[in-house]
Amino acid sequence: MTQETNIISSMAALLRADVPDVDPTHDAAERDRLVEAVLVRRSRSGWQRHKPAMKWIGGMALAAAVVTALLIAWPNAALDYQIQGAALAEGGYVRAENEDAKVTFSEGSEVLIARGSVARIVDVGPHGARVVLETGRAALSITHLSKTEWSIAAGPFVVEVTGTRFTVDWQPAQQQLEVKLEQGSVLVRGPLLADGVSLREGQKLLAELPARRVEIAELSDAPVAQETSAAPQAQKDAAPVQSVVPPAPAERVPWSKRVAAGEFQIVLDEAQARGIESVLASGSLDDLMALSDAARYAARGDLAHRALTAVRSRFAKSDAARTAAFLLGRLAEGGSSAAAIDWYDRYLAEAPGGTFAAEALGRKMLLLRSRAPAQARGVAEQYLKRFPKGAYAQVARDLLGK
Amino acid sequence: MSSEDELEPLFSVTSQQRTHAPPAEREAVVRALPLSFRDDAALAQAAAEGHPAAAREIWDRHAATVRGLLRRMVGPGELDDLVQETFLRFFDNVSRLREPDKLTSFLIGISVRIAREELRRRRVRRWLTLRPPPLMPEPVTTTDFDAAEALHRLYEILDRLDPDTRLVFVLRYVEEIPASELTEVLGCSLATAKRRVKRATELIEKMALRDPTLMAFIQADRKSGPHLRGEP
Repeated sequence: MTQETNIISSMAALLRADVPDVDPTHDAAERDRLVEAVLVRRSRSGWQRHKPAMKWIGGMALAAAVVTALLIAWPNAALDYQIQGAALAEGGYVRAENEDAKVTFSEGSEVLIARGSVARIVDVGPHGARVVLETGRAALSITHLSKTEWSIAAGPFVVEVTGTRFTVDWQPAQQQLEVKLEQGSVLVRGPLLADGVSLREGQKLLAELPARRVEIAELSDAPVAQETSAAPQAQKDAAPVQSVVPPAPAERVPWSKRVAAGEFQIVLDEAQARGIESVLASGSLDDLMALSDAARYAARGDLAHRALTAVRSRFAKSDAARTAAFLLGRLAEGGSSAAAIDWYDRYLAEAPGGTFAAEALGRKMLLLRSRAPAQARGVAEQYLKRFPKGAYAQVARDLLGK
Repeated sequence: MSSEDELEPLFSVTSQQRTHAPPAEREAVVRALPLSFRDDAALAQAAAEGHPAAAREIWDRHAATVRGLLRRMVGPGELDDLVQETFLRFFDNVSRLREPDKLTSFLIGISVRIAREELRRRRVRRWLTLRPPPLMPEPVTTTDFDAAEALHRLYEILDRLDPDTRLVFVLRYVEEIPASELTEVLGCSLATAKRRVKRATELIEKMALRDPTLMAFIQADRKSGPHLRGEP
């Protein structure tokens, strides 16, 4: 390669590494702005339907206090559902303002959204739906069938169900999750839960992100603390486990707590005051992970990258180091697909059964899809073999023509 | 479902009907966004049909790509309005998309047009004010100060280029779009695309060679191996 083409490739690499980082809150606001603008344009121009047989009203918010909503099955026969007790808004939002809202699905499953709570019906397929609990409580009664694809997300947690009755309570301000399982079984994934925690009938789980504490107990018992790194099988033991979460130092609010409270800039300021290099070189694992989170949310992708790189360098054998590989892939996605894929490959090699394995493989498949279709199809086959019910399964099937 | 819950036949409700109809008759027909909409072709079709959830889904899938592309084409700074304009033009024109599975390429093409218009607007403003606008202050996204400075100098070089040359450089070398595909994005023949790539390459190399800060970074980078943002 000549010196001149070296110059071009170096400049291109430099630009590619300039990854724009957007605060998730800002991104959500911009998304809402687009949705509203599209609705306004549509209502002004008299949107032309290309499929007159498909009757719908364009997703405008409904004013009635009690509304019955009908779902037309899409040609691939997604479940129908009805909503009682709440208005259905654009984006699948169900806000139970004055009373509990009940969502009844055509295969018999029910989701009861408690008064004052907000949930979203995000994906509805032929075998289930994905519900996002934005805040408050939801009680689910899921019909057990030979093939079910149900999950409920609450903050960073996901509860995967096969046929069960349980409640999920998510308080975003306190970053606290409670799952109470009355019947059946669920698998709860998310922060503090390693590769997922299975609950059996009659158990409840309480996860508190700021305190980095997970408690599992019988529904009738007082809560008992559990180590955050415990394997799922440990729950079958009756003996309580002592909490291993150290108390926060009296003179400093833990950065993880500040991140949970949305105080990202304070974390960055405190890191600056301590000296970024010093924090990266000698800060605790918790501090580095919290710093990387704060930096991502404060649109400081450069600092997030440094913190995650330090985690991988200094705590190479930790779960956090593997998580850092996945997050580095996410950071890289806005800039360099190749770099993102490389990080996802590393995560998958280091944590093949990790919490983010399905997402890493799915995102890799999406990144390859337009650039290297043949390679993407190979990844699609892997994905379907490992995660036949995963969020990207349909994409994989479409890629393979199944 | 029980007989009490038996649903009324479906019917189409306009906003006027919805406003004036008594509560008992107000029924909303809502179509879910099934998992199959994750496929670009189905998503593009849903957008063309005005599916209520298509805008949200398309944003979630493609906003990061569009934003990154616009940033590299027009430089760092306030990009929100440009990103919005890209997606709004997409929705205005998606019904004309002949190959729905080319949704991403369609979006890239729109982004390029938006970027070109923005760069031309800036040149006019620069000409009118008789001085170049400063780069907008923004947190850098590289791992060290040398790279940050080099990046700043690189954006300054790009700012001095005409819009077409800048776009060709970014699309060909940064986004790694082959010359054969540039014809679609730029709307020109293959011969023209190759000629523009050659001219852009020569011009930018010449400008880079005259910038000692940028060259020092590039040479140090080549000596130390692939620059991958400080990974271990």
